[in-house]
Amino acid sequence: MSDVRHPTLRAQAIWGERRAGGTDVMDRLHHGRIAAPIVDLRDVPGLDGVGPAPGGGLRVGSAVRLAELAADERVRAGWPALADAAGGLANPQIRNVATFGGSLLQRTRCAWFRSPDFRCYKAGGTGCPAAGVDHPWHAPLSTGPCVAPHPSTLALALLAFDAKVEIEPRGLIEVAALYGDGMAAGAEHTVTEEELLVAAILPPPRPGAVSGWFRVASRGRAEWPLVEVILHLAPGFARVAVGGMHSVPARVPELEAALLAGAPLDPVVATLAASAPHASTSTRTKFPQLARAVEIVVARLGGVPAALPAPSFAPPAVPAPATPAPRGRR
Amino acid sequence: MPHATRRGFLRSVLGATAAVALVPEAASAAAGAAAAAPAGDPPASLDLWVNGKAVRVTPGPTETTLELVRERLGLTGTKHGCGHGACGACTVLVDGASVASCLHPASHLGGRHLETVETFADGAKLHPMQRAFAAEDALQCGYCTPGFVTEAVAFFARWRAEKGRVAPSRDEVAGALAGHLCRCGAYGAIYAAVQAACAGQYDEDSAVAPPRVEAVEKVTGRARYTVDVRLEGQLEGVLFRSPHASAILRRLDLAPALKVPGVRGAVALAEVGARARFVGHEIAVLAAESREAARAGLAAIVAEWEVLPAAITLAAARAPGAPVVFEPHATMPLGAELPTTPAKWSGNARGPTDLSIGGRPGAVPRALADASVVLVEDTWTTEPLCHTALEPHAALAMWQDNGLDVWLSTQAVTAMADDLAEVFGLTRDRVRVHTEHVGGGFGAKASFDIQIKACVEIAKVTGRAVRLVLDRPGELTVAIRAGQEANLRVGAKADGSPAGLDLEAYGHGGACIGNSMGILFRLLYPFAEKRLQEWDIASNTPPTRPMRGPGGFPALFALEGAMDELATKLGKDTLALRRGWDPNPVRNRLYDRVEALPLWKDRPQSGQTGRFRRGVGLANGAWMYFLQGNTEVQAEVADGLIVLRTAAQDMGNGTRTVIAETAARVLGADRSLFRVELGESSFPTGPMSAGSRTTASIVPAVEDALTQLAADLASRAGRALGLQQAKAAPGGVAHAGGLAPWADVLKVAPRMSRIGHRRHDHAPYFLPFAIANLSIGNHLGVAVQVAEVEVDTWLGRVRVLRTWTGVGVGHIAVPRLARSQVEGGVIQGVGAALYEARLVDPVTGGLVSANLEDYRVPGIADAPEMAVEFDEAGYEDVLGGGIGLSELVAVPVAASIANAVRAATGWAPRALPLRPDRVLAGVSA
Repeated sequence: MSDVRHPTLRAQAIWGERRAGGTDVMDRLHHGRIAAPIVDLRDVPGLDGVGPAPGGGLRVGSAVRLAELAADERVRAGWPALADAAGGLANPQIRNVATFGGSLLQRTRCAWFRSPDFRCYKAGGTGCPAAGVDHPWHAPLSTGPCVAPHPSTLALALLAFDAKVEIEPRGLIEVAALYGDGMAAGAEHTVTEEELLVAAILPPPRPGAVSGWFRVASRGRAEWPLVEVILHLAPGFARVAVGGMHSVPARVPELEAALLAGAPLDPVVATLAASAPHASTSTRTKFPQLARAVEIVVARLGGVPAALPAPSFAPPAVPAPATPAPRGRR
Repeated sequence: MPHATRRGFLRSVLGATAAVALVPEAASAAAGAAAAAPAGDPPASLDLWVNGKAVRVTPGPTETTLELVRERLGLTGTKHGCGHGACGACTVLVDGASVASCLHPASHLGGRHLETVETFADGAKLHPMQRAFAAEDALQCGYCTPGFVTEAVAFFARWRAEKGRVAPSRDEVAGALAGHLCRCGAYGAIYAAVQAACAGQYDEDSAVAPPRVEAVEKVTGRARYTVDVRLEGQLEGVLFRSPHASAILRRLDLAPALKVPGVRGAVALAEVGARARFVGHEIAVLAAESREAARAGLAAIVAEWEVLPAAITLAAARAPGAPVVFEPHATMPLGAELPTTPAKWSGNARGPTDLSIGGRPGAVPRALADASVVLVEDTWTTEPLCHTALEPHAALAMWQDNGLDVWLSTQAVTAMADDLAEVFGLTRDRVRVHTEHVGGGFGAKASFDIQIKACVEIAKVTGRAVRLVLDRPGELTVAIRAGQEANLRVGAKADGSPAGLDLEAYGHGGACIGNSMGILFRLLYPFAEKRLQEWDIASNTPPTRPMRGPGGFPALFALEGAMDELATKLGKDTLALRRGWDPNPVRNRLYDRVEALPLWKDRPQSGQTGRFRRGVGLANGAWMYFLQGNTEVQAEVADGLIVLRTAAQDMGNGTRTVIAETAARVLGADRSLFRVELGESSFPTGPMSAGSRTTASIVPAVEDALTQLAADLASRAGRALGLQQAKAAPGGVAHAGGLAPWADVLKVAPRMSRIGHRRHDHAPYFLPFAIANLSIGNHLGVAVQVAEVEVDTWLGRVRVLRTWTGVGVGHIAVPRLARSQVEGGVIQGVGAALYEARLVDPVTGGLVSANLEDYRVPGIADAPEMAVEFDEAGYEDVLGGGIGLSELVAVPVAASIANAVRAATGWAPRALPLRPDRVLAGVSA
């Protein structure tokens, strides 16, 4: 039986499996994937709330529920891809309790990790039983020892918006630093047991910026992605964050450059595929899916914004109202 | 030797005798009662509101809201489904928002308002959403229903507040209910119910009874399933399973488990020296005061294994020199429902079993070798699937009153009682099986399983009631259907007439035999010569069992795919080719209906080039007519009603409603005059619900019972009322002075009872004898399935947009419920075609798809718009006028979807499921 603590101070909310909404921790608890005592964040102050950040951006507390995040008018207006993704991932019963921080720091959804029949690196074992198996949900671009894709969709949004995350006591760090390079076999992120994820800081919207999320999946809803993308485009600016392909949340600069250059995407993904460490029969199709997913979002956003220098007196464009996540609808 | 039961062998190869049975000594048992206190925060009490009432609880440190609701508060309407947040059966409302209670810490409930399904009805006055679910028949087994209703009630409140009395779109409903799975496939009616309730159509109570007899119990959470039954002091049983795919048990020490606090007993299910043949093989059972203690006990068991090489995949099992799964004379569990014929082994291949028609040696190969023959020839494969009933296998056993009581989630109340009596050496009347409601079965709960035996054994050893409920990985290990491979050649002469059909089929059913599909190739296109040979390929994966239409969808995926391609090669219309080959008059009437369908007539043409391409596919379905000849139904006059009893079960197939509606029809009376009681083995012999036999077996027995009872009532009640020339008539007792309605007759009738039997049809049966009480009639069920798909050729995704199912099985006992069952077959076919595959690790044999995220069953957003039509003629020589349809309608669906994908894209699928990667690779090739 796992012990559970309910600290009331942030400084005490360390040393153990941090539990916020519980949708990941309780699942792993039932399947014997919790080794440490549970540190419940229920009574820990200062993790809640969406509010202005110094300098015009937005601060999103790690304990904000996904459903709140999706419905927040400020998020919808300024960072619509984040709101869309938060409102479209998992299912309503999960979004009503799962938190922003939990989404960023959840453990892998790899089927081998979640099955009681295996003990991989991430479950305290010594190898990856999945590495040699052709499985359509594997990450062909993983460069580390784990072949599962990183599970956090919201991390992609943070990458696409150049957000920073606030870790106590480490301070404000880049999203890339939150996740590392994927070479650590046992962990999905770099937050240590002495640290606590407090919030994310979204920089102010860029003038003329648009953003969108698209997920390639098999079933129509409540389905984990095969590939997903979050695009953040502005004049002369492109961010393409990609899920389902890497073992850490990743931007793909080659795709960003192609978008800005108006170049076709197929050669870009073909190059990625050619050097993919874990491409297999059933993950090879993720590369054309990635190119198409990017094109779908670009088309929905009305194309890549022209790279003309914006006149300084022009007000920032109001982002298009967020549309519900499309899932194969035309 | 393993125990032979009425339907073959006990399903575990190891399930011989209890080699070791242990209980803790008194001292350690006492120590177990005072379990060590955990070292985290001390348990804190919480104040919350539960269904409007203030409650103070002190939950355990890791207690979930689901455990609090079900175990602590006894509110069992909320169900445990996947334990993973994926199926939604456990949904409750916290401050009005839906929450997956299986993942929600109880300690988070302080100060919150918790609402469960029990709170939505105000006495007898249902919530509009509950009325809608009941009236639209938006449920079958009902196990997922409380979760759906709870979510839909929350949606209703939001929707009405924001939009008023308007119907939401299908997409809006799908978004709201995305976190719920209904394995019976009631999605079509769920859409209708939610839309109608939001639009205000169910704001007021209606005098019309819902189509399904037990609907109100199911929408209110009152329906009691095996997992809901609690006995005083019951223990939790768990199974200790083999971690190896192939290994010999060299040592098994249960004693350390008995030292774990709370553990009350353990029984070995395998002897030292026995061989485990798959990961998950059942080795021992133990029982403890709580599931947590039981798990701790499992971890303490010491087992030593001699690990042997294993053959996991089909390819590995077939490879030269592969490890042999079954050594000579090993006991082999049966995957099939019927006994198999003897066949030779070669390595892991057992066969061929020859089912050929015609039988002139070499005739078919010679015919197909003719240069003028137009031939389609290839290999079609499907993967093992899981039945995935949302109520897992569950048993609760208690030895008491000089006998044995077992609450059981089963498709076979009578047969289970027979088997329990035989296995435990009891007279039949000392075994009492209780099965009030069954949360889905689909074939998985029809056999006497090792976990039932284990539960009863451990209850005997501990002298306590023991509940054994499989966890989801266990359920996904026990409830599996075989994968299949068909090497098929179908040839036509230049004039389009059949030249021959040549099949070599391989059933991949793991550590068992009897996974056949060849029989299906005899049911369609009855031409003179067919060469049909099949093999079992044994492997070190769990033994499979029949699932709704065993062998059916893989066979038709191959056969109907080949027929479609043959038509193309011949330059013939696909329907015209089938018409020419199959003269069945019912089928031809259904073809007429297809040709009149806009869905078919206006289908998109080939040669589309855009991203989204639409296609319409067609496939034939056929299934056998099974009935159980020893079926009995008792009709008894009691309390001014007629009570109808049989030891059958209702797993959502509608047994209760079929009985009540048939009775009402026979007497010309309202359904409210009858009460149906099922699920007790002490009742007269009931049929299994397997092989689509329930309705075909029960309807004639009900007719028989009520015909007898009506005549008796007319004479005896007629005397009591002083009626002249009294005789039974529609609506009551006709007499010289008019008609005495049944309700009045029953008021004065003495207590009386008649047993109705399922008599032999007027027509002869296909086989003159019954096998395990199962007869095969001389009719076929006929289905024609049409599906429209949209293929996203950029992403590889297939959506099924619309379907039409034409069904010919004769008289339909209850049309509304029959439609629900057809739609459920379509939904399950969508799953088989597009998403589902049981995945094991090819090296270790461990279960990879161990939960309902990785084993993908269709959700509500994946449900097409479905139309169903019945052709009710042609079965007049069957008692009751009709045969079963459950399996019939499930078997052609995947084939029709695959054919629709080919129609849309020109690419002919050869392997299911049609995952996006396969489709994308296929259409890009």
